[in-house]
Amino acid sequence: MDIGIVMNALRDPAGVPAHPVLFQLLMVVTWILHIAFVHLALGAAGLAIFAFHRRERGPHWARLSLALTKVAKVAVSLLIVLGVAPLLFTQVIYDPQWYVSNVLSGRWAIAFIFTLMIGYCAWFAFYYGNRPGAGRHIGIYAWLALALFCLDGLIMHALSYQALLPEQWLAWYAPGGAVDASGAKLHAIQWPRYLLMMSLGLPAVGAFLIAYAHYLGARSDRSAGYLDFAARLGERLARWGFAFCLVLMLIWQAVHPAASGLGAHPLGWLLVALLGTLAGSVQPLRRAHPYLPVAGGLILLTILALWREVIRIHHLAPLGYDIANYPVHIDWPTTFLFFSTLAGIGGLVGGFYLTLLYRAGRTSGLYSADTLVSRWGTSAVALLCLWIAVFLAYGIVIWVRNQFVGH
Amino acid sequence: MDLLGMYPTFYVPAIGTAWVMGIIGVIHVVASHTSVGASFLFALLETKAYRDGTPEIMGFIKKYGMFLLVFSYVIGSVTGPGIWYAITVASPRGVGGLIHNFVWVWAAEWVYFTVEVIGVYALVYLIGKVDAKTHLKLTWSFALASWATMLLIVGILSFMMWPGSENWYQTGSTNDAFYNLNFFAHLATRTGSMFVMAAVVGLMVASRVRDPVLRRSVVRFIAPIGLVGGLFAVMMFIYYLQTLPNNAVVMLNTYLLPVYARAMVAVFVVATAWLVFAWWQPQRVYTPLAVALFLFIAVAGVWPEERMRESMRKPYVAGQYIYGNQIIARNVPGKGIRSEMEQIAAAGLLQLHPFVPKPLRTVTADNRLATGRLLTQIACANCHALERGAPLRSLPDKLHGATDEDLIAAFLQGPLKHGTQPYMPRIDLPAPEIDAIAHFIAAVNRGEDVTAQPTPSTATAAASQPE
Amino acid sequence: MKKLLTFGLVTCCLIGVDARAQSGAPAADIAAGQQRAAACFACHNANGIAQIPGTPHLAGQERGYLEKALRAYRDGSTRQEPTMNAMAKPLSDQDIANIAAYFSSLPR
Repeated sequence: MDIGIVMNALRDPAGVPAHPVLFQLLMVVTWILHIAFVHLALGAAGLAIFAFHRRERGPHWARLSLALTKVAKVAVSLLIVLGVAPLLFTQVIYDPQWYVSNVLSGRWAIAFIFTLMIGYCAWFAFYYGNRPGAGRHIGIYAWLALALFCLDGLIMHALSYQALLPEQWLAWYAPGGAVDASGAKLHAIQWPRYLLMMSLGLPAVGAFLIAYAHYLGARSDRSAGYLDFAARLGERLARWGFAFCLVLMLIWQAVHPAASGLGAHPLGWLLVALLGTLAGSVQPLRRAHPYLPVAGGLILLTILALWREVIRIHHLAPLGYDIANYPVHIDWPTTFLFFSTLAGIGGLVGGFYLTLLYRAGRTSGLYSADTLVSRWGTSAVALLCLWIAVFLAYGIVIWVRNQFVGH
Repeated sequence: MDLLGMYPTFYVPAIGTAWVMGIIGVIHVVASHTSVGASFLFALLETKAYRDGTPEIMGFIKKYGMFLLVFSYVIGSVTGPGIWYAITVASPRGVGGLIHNFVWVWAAEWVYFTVEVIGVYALVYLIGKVDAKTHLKLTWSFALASWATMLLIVGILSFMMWPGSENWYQTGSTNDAFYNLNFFAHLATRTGSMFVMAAVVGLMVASRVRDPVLRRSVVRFIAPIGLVGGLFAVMMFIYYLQTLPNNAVVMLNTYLLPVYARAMVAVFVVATAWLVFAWWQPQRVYTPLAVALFLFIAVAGVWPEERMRESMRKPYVAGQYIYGNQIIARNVPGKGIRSEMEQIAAAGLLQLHPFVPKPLRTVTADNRLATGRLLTQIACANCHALERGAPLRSLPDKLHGATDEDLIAAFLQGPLKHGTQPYMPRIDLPAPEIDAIAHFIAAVNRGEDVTAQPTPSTATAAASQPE
Repeated sequence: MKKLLTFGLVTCCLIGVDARAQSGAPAADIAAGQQRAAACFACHNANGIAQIPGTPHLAGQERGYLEKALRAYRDGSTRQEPTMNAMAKPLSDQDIANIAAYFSSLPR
C-alpha cells in the first residue's frame, strides 16, 4: 500500500476552513513564540539550580537563583499556553502524521501530560522552598522538575520526529506482522536534533540575563553590583551557549538522510552561520543595545522554525503529501472570529496587561496609571463586554433561526 | 485499491482510553472551573474592598490568589491540551473532525488563554504596585476573559453531543455546529457551577481570615453567590437534559441515572448545606473542613458530570456523524463527508483499514484469533474493555460470558447490525469478520490465552513492510 | 433462602405443567438454556427484565409462547424482524426448548 495515498486518506474529510498555507504560517509563527519560552524555561531552570548550589559563594548567586526560579515558573506557564497554538495548527494541516505518531506512542503522549504536571508542581515546591536559608534538600524538587521537563522535551521531539517517517509506521505498529496496540514505545529519536533544541536554553538564558540587567537598571532599589554580575554571566552563557549549539547543529547537519538532500540545503547552513555569528558577536551586540542578543536569538529561532518546516516538506513531499492540496471549505464567520479576537483581545487587552507589567516593573513603589493607561484599562473591560455581548447575540440569532425558522 | 482514513489503535487494558480521558478531564474541569470561579470571586471581593475601603482584603487575594489562580490556571492549561492528547490517542478521527470544524474557535480561545496567562501574573504581582482603580480594571477584565474561554469551549463540547438540527449537515457552517441546540443550556449549567466553585473556593480563602468582622462580611458576601449559582445550575441542568438526543436519553435513563443520580443529589445537598452553614456560622468555617468540602464537591460533582457527558453521546464521539470506533456513520453534504458504512459492510475492515499487517488482511482458519482480536480492538475497544471483569463496560461481560460463537455472531448480525440499541453503533461487517470477532470474544469468555499470534514462521519481517 | 425455594418450586411447576401440555417436545434443560442464552442477555438481561426501551421483558413469559415465537423467528416467514431472525437462526429445537424454559422460569 502506498504510504502517500494512506496519508492523504487519513486527512480529515471535512477539509480545512481556510487556505492551508495560512495555517502553516500561523503554525510556524506561534511555534517560534512557544520554543522561545521553552528555551527560557530550560535555561532559567538549569541556571536557577546551578545558582542554588552556589549560594554559599556569595549573595549574588542566591539572589540570581531566586529570580530565575520565578522566571522559570512564569516561562513554563507561558510555554504551555503558547504551545497550544502550534499544536492546534499542526493538527489542521498535518493531522495524519501527528495522529499516527501519537497513537503509536500513546502511553508516552499521555505520560507527557502527567509528567509535565508533576514537573510543574515540583518546580512550584522548589519555588516556595527556595528562600534564604533553605536546606539543600529543596534542590531535589528542582532537579526532579528539570529532569521531567527534559523528558517531556524528548517525548515531544519523538512525536514530531516519528511524524516525519511514515514509511516506518506500519513496521512500528505491527512488528513482524503482529499488531502491538500498547503504544508503549518511543520509536524514533534523532539525538542531535533533540540535544540542540534543549541546549538552546543556554544562550537563551544568557541573552535573557543581559536584557534583565538592563531592564532592572531603571530601578533604584536594585544593586548595580548584582545587575552587573547578572549581565556578565549572561554574556558568558550566551557566547559559550551559542558555540555549543553550533557544534550540535553541525552534527545534526551530518545526520540527515543522504537522499533527502537536506545536507546541502542553504537554510541549514544559514542556521550554522547564524549560530557562529551570534557566538562571536554577543559582546558587540550587548554594547550596541542590551536587548539585541534577545533579538538575535529570536531571528535564530525564526530560521530554525522555517528549517523544521523545510525538513518536514523534504520528508513528506517525495511520498506525495502536500498541504497545498488539502481540500478547503472556507468558513468566513469563524475566520473573522479568530482574527478579530487576535487583534482586539490579544492586542488591546493583552497590550494593556503587558504595558502595565512593564511600567509597574520599572517603577519602585506604587505605579499610578497615567491617562493613557487608565483609558486603556477602561477600554479593555468595555471591549470584553462588547465581545461577549456580540458573541451571545450572534449566537441567539443563529439559534433561533435554526430552531424556529428552519433551514 | 480502496481504503479508509482509519488510524492505528491505541489500547489501554481494563480502563480503556475513555477513563484516561475521564481522569485528565476531571483534573482539567476542577482546575479550570476553580480558576474561572476564583477570577470572579476575586473580582467581586476586590470591588467590595474598593467600595468599602477595606484594603486588607487585597492582602488575602495576594496571599491566596497566587496559589489558587496561578496553580489552578496552569494545571488547567496543561490538562486542557492534555484532553486533546487523550482524545487524539483514543479517537484520532473524532478529534480531527472537531479540529477541522472548530480550529478558528479554538484559535480564538487560545488568544484568550495567552492573554489570561499574562493577566494572571499581572493580577497577582501588581496588587499594591499599581493604583487600586487600575488594578480593579485588570481583575475584572481577567474575570470576563476567563468566562469568554468558557463561552468558546462550551459550543464545541455541546457539538460533541449533537448539532440538534439538520442545518449543520447541510451547510457545514461552523455557526450551525457551534450554536447548537444544547449550547445555551450547557453554558448556563456550567456558569452556575462556576459560581458554586467560586463560593466553595472563597470559603477556603475566608477560613484563613483572622479578623472576625472581616471574615463574617466576606463569608456572608460569598455564600449567597454560591447558593444562587447552585440553584441556577440545577435548573439549567434539568433544561439541558431536555435538549439531548434520544440515544443520550436512553443511555441516561438505562445506565447513568441509576449509578450517578445519588451522587449528584448528594453533591447538591452537601454544597447547599455547606454554604448555608457558612453563612450562619462564619467563624466555624475551618480550613480543613473547607478544603475537604471543596475536594468533595469538586470531585464528586465533576466525575459523574464528565462520565455522563462522555457516555451519553455514544455511539458517536462528535456531531452524530463519527462513531466512537472512528467510522463515519452518515453523510455530511455541507462538508462533502460521506458515510463509510456501506463500503465497510461490503469489503470489510481488514481490507479497507490501512494499518492492517499483510498476514491479517484476510481471515483464515489459522489467524482467526488474531484477526478477531484486531477487529475487536478496532470496532469495539474505544468504548469497551476487552477483559472480563474490567471496569470500562467490559465487552465479555456485556455479552454475559457467552461462549457460543454462533450466538455471538448472531448478536452482531442481528441487534448490532440493525441498531436495536440506540447507544450502540451499527456495525455491519462481512460474515468472515463477524465470525472472527465472535471467535475472539468466545475465546476470552472461555478464559483462553488470546494474545497468541498466528503461525510465527509465516509472519516474516517482510510482512511488516507496507505493501 | 425462602426466595430461592419459591423460585425452585415455581420453576418445577412450570416445567411440569408445560411438559404435560406439550408431550413430544424435547425435555427442557434450564441450565443449558441459561448458558446458550448468554448473548440474548445483552438486550433482554440475565434476569429477563430488559433495560432497553422497545425490548420486551422475558422473565416469567409463557414458555409455549416463547418457543413458538423463537421458532417463527428462526423460520422467518411469519415473523420477519431482522434482529430476532438473526438471533434465532443458529438455534436448534433443543436450544429453543431450553432457552424458553430458562426465561419462563424467571420471576417477573
